[in-house]
Amino acid sequence: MVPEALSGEVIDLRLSPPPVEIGVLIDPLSVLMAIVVSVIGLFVTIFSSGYMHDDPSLTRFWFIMQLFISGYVLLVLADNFLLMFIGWEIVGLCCTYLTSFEYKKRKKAHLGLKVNNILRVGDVGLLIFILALYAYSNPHTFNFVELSKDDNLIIQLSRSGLLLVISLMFLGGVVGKAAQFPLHEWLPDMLVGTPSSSNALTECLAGPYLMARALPIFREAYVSGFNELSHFFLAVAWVGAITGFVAALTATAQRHPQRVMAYSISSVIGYMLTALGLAGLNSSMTSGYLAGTIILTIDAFVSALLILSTVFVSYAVRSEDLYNMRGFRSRLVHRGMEIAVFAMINVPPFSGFWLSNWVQTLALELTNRTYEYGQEILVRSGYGLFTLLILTGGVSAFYGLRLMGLIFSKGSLRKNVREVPKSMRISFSGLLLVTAILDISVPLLIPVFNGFFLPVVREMIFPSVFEVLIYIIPSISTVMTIIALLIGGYISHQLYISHKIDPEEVMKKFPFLTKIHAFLLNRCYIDALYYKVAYHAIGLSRSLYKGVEMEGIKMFRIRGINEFFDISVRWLSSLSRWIYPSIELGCFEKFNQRVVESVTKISGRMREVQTGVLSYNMLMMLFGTIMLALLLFMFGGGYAGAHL
Amino acid sequence: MIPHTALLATIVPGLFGVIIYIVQKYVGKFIGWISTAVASLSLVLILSMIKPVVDSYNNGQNSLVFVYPWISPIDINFGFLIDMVSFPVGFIIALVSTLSCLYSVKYMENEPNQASYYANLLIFMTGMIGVVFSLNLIQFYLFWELMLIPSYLLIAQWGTSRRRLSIGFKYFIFTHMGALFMLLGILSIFSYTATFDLTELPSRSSSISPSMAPVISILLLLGFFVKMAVFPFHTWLPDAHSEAPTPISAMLSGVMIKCGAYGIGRILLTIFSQRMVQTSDYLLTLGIITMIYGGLMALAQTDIKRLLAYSSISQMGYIVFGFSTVSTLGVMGSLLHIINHAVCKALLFMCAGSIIHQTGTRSIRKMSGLITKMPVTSFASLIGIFSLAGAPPLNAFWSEWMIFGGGLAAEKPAFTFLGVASTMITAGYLLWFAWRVFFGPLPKRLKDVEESPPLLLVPIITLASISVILGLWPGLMLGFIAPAAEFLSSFKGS
Repeated sequence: MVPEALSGEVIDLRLSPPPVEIGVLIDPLSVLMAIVVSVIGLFVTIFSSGYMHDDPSLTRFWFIMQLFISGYVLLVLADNFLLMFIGWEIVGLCCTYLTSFEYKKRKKAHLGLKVNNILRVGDVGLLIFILALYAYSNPHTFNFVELSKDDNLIIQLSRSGLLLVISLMFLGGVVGKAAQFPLHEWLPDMLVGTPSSSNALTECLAGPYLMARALPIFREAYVSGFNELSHFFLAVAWVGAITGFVAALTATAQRHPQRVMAYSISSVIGYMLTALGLAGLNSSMTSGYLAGTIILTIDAFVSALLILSTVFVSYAVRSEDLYNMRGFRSRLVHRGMEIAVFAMINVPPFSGFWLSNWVQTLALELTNRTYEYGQEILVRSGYGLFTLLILTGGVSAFYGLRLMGLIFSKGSLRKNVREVPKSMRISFSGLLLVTAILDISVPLLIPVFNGFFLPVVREMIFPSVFEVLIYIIPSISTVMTIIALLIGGYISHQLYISHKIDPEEVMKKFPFLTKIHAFLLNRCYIDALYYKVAYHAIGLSRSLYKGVEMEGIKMFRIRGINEFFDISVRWLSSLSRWIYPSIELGCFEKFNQRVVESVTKISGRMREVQTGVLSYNMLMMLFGTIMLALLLFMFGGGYAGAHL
Repeated sequence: MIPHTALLATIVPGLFGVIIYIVQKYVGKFIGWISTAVASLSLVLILSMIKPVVDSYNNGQNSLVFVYPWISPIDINFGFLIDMVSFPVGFIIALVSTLSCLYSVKYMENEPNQASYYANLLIFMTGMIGVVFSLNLIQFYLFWELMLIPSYLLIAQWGTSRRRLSIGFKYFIFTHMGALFMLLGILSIFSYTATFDLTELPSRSSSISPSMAPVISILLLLGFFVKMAVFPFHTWLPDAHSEAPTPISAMLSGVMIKCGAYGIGRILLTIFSQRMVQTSDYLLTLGIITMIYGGLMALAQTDIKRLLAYSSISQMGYIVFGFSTVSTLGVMGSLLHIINHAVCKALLFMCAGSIIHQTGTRSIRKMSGLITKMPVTSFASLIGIFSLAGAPPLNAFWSEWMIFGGGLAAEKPAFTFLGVASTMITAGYLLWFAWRVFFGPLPKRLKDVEESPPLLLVPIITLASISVILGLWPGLMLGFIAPAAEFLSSFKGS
């Protein structure tokens, strides 16, 4: 192109309009989430610099961590589904990388594969949703802001019957990433596999974030009369509530602290999804949406604190078994765990109490619907969800206190407690401070949140802390929550803290408890079910290969065709082997040789003419002259050069 | 645009070849690199003509003409004709020659008389580019012979067997005889039309007497067919191409024989298009015989380069077939196959050279399982093999289906079926070749074989990736070739 540039031409090369316009969306939700991610990312990074200081492959670790954080931020700040999906996949990929971080251990490499496969199930659903949405929308309006205004899109989707299907696909994507039932089994594996310090950056929160992000779009459609979406919202709420209960139950029997963490995260995310699902169903979206987002924010910190404190303990005692941690002493960790666990198990006045009551109130709100046709299921669901959430609260109290009891109660701790690096202490106490402030001040924060989210929810239902108290406290839910807390907490206290009852003896006394314990310890056999499915899928493909591909096709083979091919191939190659010597070498080459030989022979003969005897030469010259004259005479002139 | 681009692109390699030969003492061991630089300068000069060529086509002028007064008394000019037909062919010639030159740097490093080798190579390149860019027929003939002489010297001096002198002589005699027939044809054309100018000839073709037209076209076809090694005139090719040093084989098989194909497209299709339509059946038969015969001969070979040489004969059959249909699609396929076969065959010869360089043998019987020892070479060869066999994501697939599609477009289904059937032989000998050389157990003798040095791999990888790119994005070349084919096949209607 240099010559063109020298001669002053201007070459204008441009890309044609891109299929998608990409951009960054800054709205209350994305800013909030970006702050949460980057603040926790900071603490985790500082914490890890101490935790990982003697790891041989640090470069890889930091590369993955930073890629993780940047992928997360991309996910949060993207302004359309496709760009978000890129961040989503980066985060998913980093999960796999981190799980198989110690890839030389066969088990961890295997866990990475499993995490990747389960995540993929949800991602496929999400991708189908995104592509269907893309197919029905205009590339220029394919972003979150415009999509919610695009009525035409929903009308088209509803007409083609896809609306409910793809919204359930979307739910599948969220369920996969948020580790919800039945796709929640990847999270315990991942948390066990990764270098533990990185767990605190809970990628699962991307799931409820996406749900909160897309909720206004679905809600808009639901309000404008597309009633089939009520099934979608119900599914969201039920998935959340069931996960909350199942995960909490499973957590009660686990011995690996990271596994307990994983189930507790799944359980809390269940609350978020329930809140968001109820936000879609209730007469006003505001309350549920606020509940979902505020749990999302607070829990990000609470879970991070909880995880870091268990990691702290495992680092110090060099063990990953709760039963080896008995008798651990550290005031810092004790305070951190108290704040986190009390928040989780709904002890007033910590955050969990307010927030889970809020969600339960939302569920009760659903029961206020009149018994009209089609509303019945909503009312029943309201009661069902409420009951399930109360039960979850009780179970959470049990396993939360069990966790604390196992770690801090009197016990015979092995003496060699490791010195914990300073950077871990500093970042832990920093996170503790931030979480404690957030945790205690939740009722005060709710009005702030409402103001902050005003552009999204468009109404101010909590102008001050009094409205919050009036909304949450005077309800059956508060009473039930505290009763559940007391029951769960009392049992746990008797078993694990005051040691009045020995769990082993109880189990011996009631054999059915042993069965339940085994059932829960084995993670409700969901994990085993997946292995079974994978095993049978591989078996099926093997038998298909053997039966159909290898044997079955043969049955349909027409007899003789094979032989025909064999014979013709053999014939062809023998033909070529025959032609090459006989025709190529025998004819063509021999002909060439003959030409060469005969020319040589003739020229040898002719050489004898070149005698140098003058008289011969004169004779030949005379002959030539006569021939020339004859030719001239016969053909005459006139032709040569006629056309020149 | 640089003034005199075409002149420079043509002359620069030859001129610098002579200069390099003169100053060889001062250049020393950098001679290969300097020659490569010169060759790539020519390539860059040709590339810089893309925009003018496209512009002139879009303006409806069809061609870019550079004229210099030469033999003014009889009004013969020295000139260059760059249009959609000649540009891609010229480009591929420069590309393959540059890569061969680069390949020679390592491959020929231990050979004597380097200066002379590179001088000859560069003059050879000038000859080929000159043939393709010639504006008139006499200049076409001049460059045609200029292309012959250095290639003869290259075979005769740096050939690999003891028979190289007689093989070179055979090559020279055959090609020269063909060229003389062609010269007779050219002079006969001149005697009727009084012009050599290729841009004027199509409009004056009616002045050729109808009784002489078949004779002239047969004379020209003889010249081109000998160069292309079509069936009865092919015997020089297996010897010459297999005995030449590998970079030269790549040039001979890759681009030199395409000059004949270019001649058919440029001269016969424009001036004698009516004759071509009339004789279409005979030429198609010849093309099919060449395809099948070359393929059968390749099946019987045990010498790796000789197999590739016979494969070239077979592939020339495809090109003859496409041109003989005289349909737009067929001509497009043939022009595209000129490019694609150049890429693939140069690639395969270079891979064969790399194998010979590393294993020290040329016999297929002694090779086996090389893919474990020479992964890059093997993978690149497989790309070339699958491409020539017509596997879809690679470049030669596009040209092959166009050629046979052209046969159907010209309403010759019987010939087309025969042609398509003969591609089975092509796939057969290529895949058998791949199977014998790259797969199977590794014999003990080859335990210590290593991958070729990077200098040999660079041209190989370049050509392999071009093959893939042109396969994935055929529009890159078809942008030039589709208008060219329309232009060439537009004469048969007149």
